Amino acid sequence: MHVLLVEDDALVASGITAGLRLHGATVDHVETAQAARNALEAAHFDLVVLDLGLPDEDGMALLQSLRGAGVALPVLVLTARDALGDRVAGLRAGADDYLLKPFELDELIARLHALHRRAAGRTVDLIRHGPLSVDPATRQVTLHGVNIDLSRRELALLQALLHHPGRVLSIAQVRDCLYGFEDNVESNAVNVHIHHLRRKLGSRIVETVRGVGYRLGEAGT
Amino acid sequence: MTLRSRLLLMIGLSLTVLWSAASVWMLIDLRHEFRGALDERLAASARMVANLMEQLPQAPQGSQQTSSPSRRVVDLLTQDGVACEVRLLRGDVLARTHNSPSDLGFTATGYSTRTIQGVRWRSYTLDQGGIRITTADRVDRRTALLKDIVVATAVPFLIAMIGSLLVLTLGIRHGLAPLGLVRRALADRDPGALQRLPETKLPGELHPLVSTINSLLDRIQQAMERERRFTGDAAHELRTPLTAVKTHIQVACLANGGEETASALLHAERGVLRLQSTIEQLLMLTRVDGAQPFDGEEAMGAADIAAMAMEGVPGGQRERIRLRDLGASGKSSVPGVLAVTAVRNILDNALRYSPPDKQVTLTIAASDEMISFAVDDCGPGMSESECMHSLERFWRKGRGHGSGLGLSIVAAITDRYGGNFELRPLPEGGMRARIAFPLA
Repeated sequence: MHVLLVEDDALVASGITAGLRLHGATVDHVETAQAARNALEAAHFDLVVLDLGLPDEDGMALLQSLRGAGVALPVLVLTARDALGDRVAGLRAGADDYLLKPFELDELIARLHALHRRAAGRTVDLIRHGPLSVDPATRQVTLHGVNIDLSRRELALLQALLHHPGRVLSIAQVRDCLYGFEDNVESNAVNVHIHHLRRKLGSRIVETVRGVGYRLGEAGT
Repeated sequence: MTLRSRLLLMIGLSLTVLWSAASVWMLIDLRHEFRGALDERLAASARMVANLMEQLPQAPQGSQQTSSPSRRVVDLLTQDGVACEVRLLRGDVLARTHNSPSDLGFTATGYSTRTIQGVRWRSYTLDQGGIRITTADRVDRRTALLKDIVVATAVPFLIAMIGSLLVLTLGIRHGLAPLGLVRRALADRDPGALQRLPETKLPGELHPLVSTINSLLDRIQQAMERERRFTGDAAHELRTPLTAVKTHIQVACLANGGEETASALLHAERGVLRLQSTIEQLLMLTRVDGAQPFDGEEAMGAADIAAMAMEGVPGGQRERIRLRDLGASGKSSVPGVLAVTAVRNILDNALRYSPPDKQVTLTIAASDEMISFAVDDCGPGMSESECMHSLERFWRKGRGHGSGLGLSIVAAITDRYGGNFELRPLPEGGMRARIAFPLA
């Protein structure tokens, strides 16, 4: 799950970033509306967490212009203002969910998972793929009913593939899912994670489409 | 009682009383004139008969009454409804109209009113040339005639009065319609609504009232808007560091020890410090804004204020302040704690917005009535509109990390104690913030 966090307060942002990373998400943080626009153009994201009080532009205006430009990403709005009018306006402007500061980190995570799941068209949290099942909320992965330990990046890679079954993900897309902008990515880092996934979940779990990218294959074989 | 019923009652009652008094007066006058005129007629008739009798050839004594010329004369009068009797002073009746009673002539000369055979008569008696002529009207006839005349005059009078009352009612209703408009506009509103009342189609008397109400509504609306914004801003300023603290503490728990936990706790502590400073600034602002006195706070001299303010600046920053004392003596009238707060706030701002390697200068000076503290910085400066905004609560320039309340507090302190606070850009770049307090 690749999350774009748009939050102008550095202290709040570092907390949310650390919390989401601990829950296995890949997080990129920007402080301004303009930076958010640039980030959305430059990379693939699954979700946006948007604070309404931005220094250069009102968060609501940013949301409206994004929706106007056809950006359909799930957006969760954070705000410290609790006026009901603000909340209604936020949902009208195209927010998918709304969370009032201060919030429980667990609740933020749960809501983000729900938004992500809904965006993928699933109604239950558990993702099943043959003998493999993944619970994004608890990060529990089982194969034939046996618990499998996956690292954060391995899980992110698996989730990205499960999220788009049958589609080929380019190497750049896969990298976006695994790393934020600040992470220093070594050239063969993605390959290392793919290698580990194949070792733990069967060699055919990731299919390589030569010169294009990777696709979800069969699990457990 | 409504204004309309009061007006209706007052004008209606006075109109009715005036009209009635006038008509009673007219009636009395009319009756008097009418009686006079009828009496005059009786006298004139009697004189006419007397003149005619003189021109008649002397009738032989004891001649037949029925064919006598005097009889023909009095017959003329009967057509007029007047009874007449002509008799010799000796007592013999010469002629008598057929409507006249038999004893009409038994009276003194002049006017008299008598009852003859059960009927009231008004008579006039004239003695001339040995003949007594008496003319008379039936009083009930006269009364009936008078009644007819009174009725004929009173009906238009009454119609005019009822008409004027109706016109009055309509006029008042129409005249007070604008009031009704305002009343309905007020009654139809939601009690909490603050939109303006309509000012068009109002008479001159109501204009000042409605425009006063409207300007009051405007001011209330502005005050409420300010209040709402302040509450919203305060919620934002308090919840943001609270969120940071809470999130970092949760991260610290999640991370289960190690470097990540330590860094999260460090961040949480930074959030607590920010929260603390915001709360302190808010409390200070509330105290300065409120009416609570700062009794027991002693006044301080300029040098002491400057020294205390510099002491309040965090350790590493203090060395960046250069103090220039242009010889300020005397004590300020502002309670010491507030004076120190104000000066420390402008020092904080200057340090925060200047590059870390640059100095800021604090100059203290005194004139006859004021002592002043000027802080010059080497920061990016502010435009004129930013200078204005900077006094708004929670406003910060760009991504400044203060609470956004520092300069609001300075302005509130100088306002309360009759001091001055000005911000202006320096020609060589940077800003000068200058506070002046009146001398004690």
